[in-house]
Amino acid sequence: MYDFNSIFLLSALLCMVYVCIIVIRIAFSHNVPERIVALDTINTLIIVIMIVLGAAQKKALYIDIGIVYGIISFIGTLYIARYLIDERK
Amino acid sequence: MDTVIISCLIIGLVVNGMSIIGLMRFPDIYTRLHAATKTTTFGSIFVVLAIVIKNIIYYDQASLTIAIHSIVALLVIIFTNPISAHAIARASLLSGIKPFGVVINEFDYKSQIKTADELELEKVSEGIPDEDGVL
Repeated sequence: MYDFNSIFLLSALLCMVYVCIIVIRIAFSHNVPERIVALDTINTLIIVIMIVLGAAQKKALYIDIGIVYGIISFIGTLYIARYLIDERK
Repeated sequence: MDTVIISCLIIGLVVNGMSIIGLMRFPDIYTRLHAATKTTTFGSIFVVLAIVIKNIIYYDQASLTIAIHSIVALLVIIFTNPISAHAIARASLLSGIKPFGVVINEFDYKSQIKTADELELEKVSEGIPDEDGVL
């Protein structure tokens, strides 16, 4: 039997490295929608990080935080997109 | 069964890493949306699958709660990810950003619709008579 807690912790660390790379992508992109795409990817990856951390430390509270973060970031993305459309007009 | 769990976790993490490669290498928003949305959804499905299988096999006090809550979080990812991708694509298309290497934006209707004065000028220059028969 493997030590699954440390394996899950390592995979959460790998996802955090992914998030750091996408932050570099946000810093060097040219216009606003490209940044929103990268931000949306960060939101999905943070939900995955929360699930994996909750499984590693055996606490369901982290996964609940991930669910609420996902819903709020979804609403935020929709409103930024609506703002981009209204700014054109 | 341990190998099944570890291989599901590795598949999920590698596919999430592919989304990073796509975000860094693709030239355009519309191609980056392919890389950003579909691969993260697919990868998170496999990561959650690994966690659910682990919590079902090694059963203890908190494992059932963790399994059910992670399935609900996966449902949140699956439902919200395509909708937000569609909203971003529509917003960037309506705000006038062309795809990479494209000269004419066919979806930009407003620039192609002509005003009444321009239509009148075209009729006069091509020699088409009006309804009254006057050039």
